Amino acid sequence: MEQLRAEEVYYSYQTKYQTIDAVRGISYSFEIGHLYAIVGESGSGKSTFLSLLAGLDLPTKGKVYVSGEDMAEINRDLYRREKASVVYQSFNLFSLLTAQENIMFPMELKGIKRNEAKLKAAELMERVGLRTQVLHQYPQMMSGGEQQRVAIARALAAGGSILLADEPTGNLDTENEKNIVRLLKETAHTMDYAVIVITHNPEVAAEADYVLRMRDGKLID
Amino acid sequence: MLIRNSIKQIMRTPVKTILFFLLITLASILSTLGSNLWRISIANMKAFEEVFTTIGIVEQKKTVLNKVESWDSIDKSQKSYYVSKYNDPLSVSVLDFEGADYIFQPVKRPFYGAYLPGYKFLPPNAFWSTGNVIIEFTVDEDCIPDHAVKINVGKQIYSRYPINVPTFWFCDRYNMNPDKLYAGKTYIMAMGESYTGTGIEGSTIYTPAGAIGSYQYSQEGELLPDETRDIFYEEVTEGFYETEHGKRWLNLAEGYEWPYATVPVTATNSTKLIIPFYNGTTYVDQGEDISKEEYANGDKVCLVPSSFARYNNRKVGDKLTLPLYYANYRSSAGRAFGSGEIWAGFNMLNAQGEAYPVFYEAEYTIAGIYLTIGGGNSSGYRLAEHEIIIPSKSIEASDKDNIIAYGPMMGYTTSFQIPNGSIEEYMEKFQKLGIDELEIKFYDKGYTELKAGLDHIKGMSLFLLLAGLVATVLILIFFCNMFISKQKKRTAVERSLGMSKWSCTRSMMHGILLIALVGSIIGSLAGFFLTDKAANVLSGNNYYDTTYTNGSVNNSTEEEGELESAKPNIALSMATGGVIVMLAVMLSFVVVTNNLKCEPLELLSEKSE
Ligand SMILES: Nc1ncnc2c1ncn2[C@@H]1O[C@H](COP(=O)(O)OP(=O)(O)OP(=O)(O)O)[C@@H](O)[C@H]1O
Ligand SMILES: [Mg+2]
Repeated sequence: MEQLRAEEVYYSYQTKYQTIDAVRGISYSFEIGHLYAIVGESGSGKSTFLSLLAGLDLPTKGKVYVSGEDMAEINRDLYRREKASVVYQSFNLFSLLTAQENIMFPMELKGIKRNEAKLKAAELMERVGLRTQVLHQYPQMMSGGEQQRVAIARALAAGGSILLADEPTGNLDTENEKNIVRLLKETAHTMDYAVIVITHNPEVAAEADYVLRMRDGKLID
Repeated sequence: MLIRNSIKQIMRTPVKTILFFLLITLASILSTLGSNLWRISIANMKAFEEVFTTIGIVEQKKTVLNKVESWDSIDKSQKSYYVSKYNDPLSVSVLDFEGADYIFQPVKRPFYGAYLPGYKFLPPNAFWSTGNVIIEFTVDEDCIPDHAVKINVGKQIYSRYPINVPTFWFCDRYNMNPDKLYAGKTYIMAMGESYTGTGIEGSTIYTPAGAIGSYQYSQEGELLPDETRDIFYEEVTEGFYETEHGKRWLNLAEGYEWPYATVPVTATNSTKLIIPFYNGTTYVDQGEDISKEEYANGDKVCLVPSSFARYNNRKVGDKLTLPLYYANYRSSAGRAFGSGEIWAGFNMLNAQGEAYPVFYEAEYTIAGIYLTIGGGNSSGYRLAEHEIIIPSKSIEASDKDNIIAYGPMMGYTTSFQIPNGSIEEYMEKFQKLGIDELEIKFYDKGYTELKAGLDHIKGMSLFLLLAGLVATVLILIFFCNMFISKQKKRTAVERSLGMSKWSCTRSMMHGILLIALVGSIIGSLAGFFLTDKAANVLSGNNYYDTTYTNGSVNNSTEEEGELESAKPNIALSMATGGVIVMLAVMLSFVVVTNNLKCEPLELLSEKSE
């Protein structure tokens, strides 16, 4: 089932001195149940493209469709709250909230009751393979792998069907990398998510169902 | 959820949070202190304006030297000496100059004689001095009274008490060339005891006491002409009492009697213009002072001294008819009547040679009964024993034909009121007039100094208020930066998790505002309670006394009173706290909005923390 579709998407950064065309005409369709990997050299526009899929901004040209609806027409805050979640290389957890509170955050945002959210958080912790001791730790006390698991748990906590990850294993060792990739794969295959992962690592890409190669803001074959 | 998370996060940086809380509390203490002190100083200033009055008294200085020659027949001595004298009396109108801003114009306060026979002025058994007598007399042998001569008492024209002796010793003591007295002729004379020197056989010597001449003044202060001022005794011939001179002697007798039943009545435009009332040594003890309106309307109300009220059994609200028959523009009643005395004799004949007639009579209501503390003092500023105070405007007839004395402006007769704090300005303008003969003294009960103190507090409070507010702004900028700008990433994450910009704004502001709110409430309460203390510290004390800024009239009793100082205001304190919260809202909003301008996109894709 098609979840996300990019149609001739362009994106330019407008800086003081110049215009950088980061994405230059990408069309692609993402479906539930698959793990997609985006690869390409640095500066090829991967993160920019992912941000557009996350609805953090609108394409300068072209369209992104979410379940057939134009991203420009929908409430993008709501979209991120309910449908799509993003995981970053630098984890981006709330540093002043505990693992549990971080995971509960999107649920509370959706208005889920605290007790319910707590239970669900515990469940998610288990699913991403976190020890219960981590529950009440602050991010800076956790290892990189743990932080990324918390980030994924938080991403999944919102529910929805799209998980976007920008080099989620970039700061992790091989052992942890493998675990995270397995987690992402599971998410795509058993939880009915469309999982889109940016990576530099060929081993990670090898695990994906589909691999998109980018160069100069375009997809290449 | 937003609030909880927001507060949760701010509480997890306790050091910063406590620091912020303490600083914002401190800043609001300063601001509240400042705003309260500011208000208090303004309120006090207003209160002072109502309580304090600034009055000036005017005195014409003696600028002329006069040679005086005197002769005393008793010790055959001739003296000549110089005394300084006043120039011609200046009119008060010279003080009506451009830029003089009077609350009460300078006026020369007259006192009037009110003839009140039947009233008691002294306790029943008090001693009376004998006073003057008017008699016809003869001599046994021709003589010149340049020494004590024996005269035979004839017909008694006037004597307060019957004369029981057949003869007196008489000397025209201060006359260098007395007229000869002839045996077989009858003379008439007003005479009184000569206080120094005794005559033959240790008896008292009598000297001429009054002439039949008139000393009436015109309204302009000029002595009206009269040819009989030198006549101290003259021969009584057949039909003498039908003649002009003879009538004058009889009128003089009447003029001698009236002062014994005369009460001085001072007419003024404000009780405060009379120094003893001004400095509080004399005050209205029962009833009320004459009000501004009563003065302005010229209502027939009066203040009477407690002794008068007591001896004559008068209460507040009682009526008192005051027949006024002379006006004295030279002296204050207190000065003319002397200390504790109830008799002041003047030459009681008008220019027509008659006793002064009552020129105005009206019924006055006793508005208040006044009391003088600390006894009389010796200067002319004190009140006379039975002095009655009435509004100038209540007198509806002119006193122009009843002026028995006229003199230059004196401190005890001439005063005015100007706005508080305008002494310097007034004097500057006055000095430009170049009237060297007039000396002006001001009394303001230390208003000028108090005002300076208040201005000081006002300045300090303004400084505190500004310092508090500036500190608030700086603290807010610093901590907004710390709590908000430094947490751009948090905002970005929130955005990426689907929080709207508005939610992010609130999420950031809730914590900081809560602390600012608590801090400013506590701070403004503390400021409120500290204001009193601070006001005392800044002003030294809350007392004022009745000593004067500029010189002092007399040995006034040092009466200290506490002026009720304005109190700090809780509403104002809260309002000040409110301003601080408002500042916090505004500043944090600006900073958050600025944060939100950054697209989360770039922040989040950073590769390392
Ligand atoms: N906020 C920005 N403002 C201006 N230019 C930007 C901005 N972010 C990215 N770019 C530019 O856009 C182009 C694409 O950047 P992007 O981050 O999408 O590449 P990327 O493929 O993710 O690279 P990397 O592998 O290093 O993460 C680059 O040339 C980059 O310099
Ligand atoms: Mg990138």
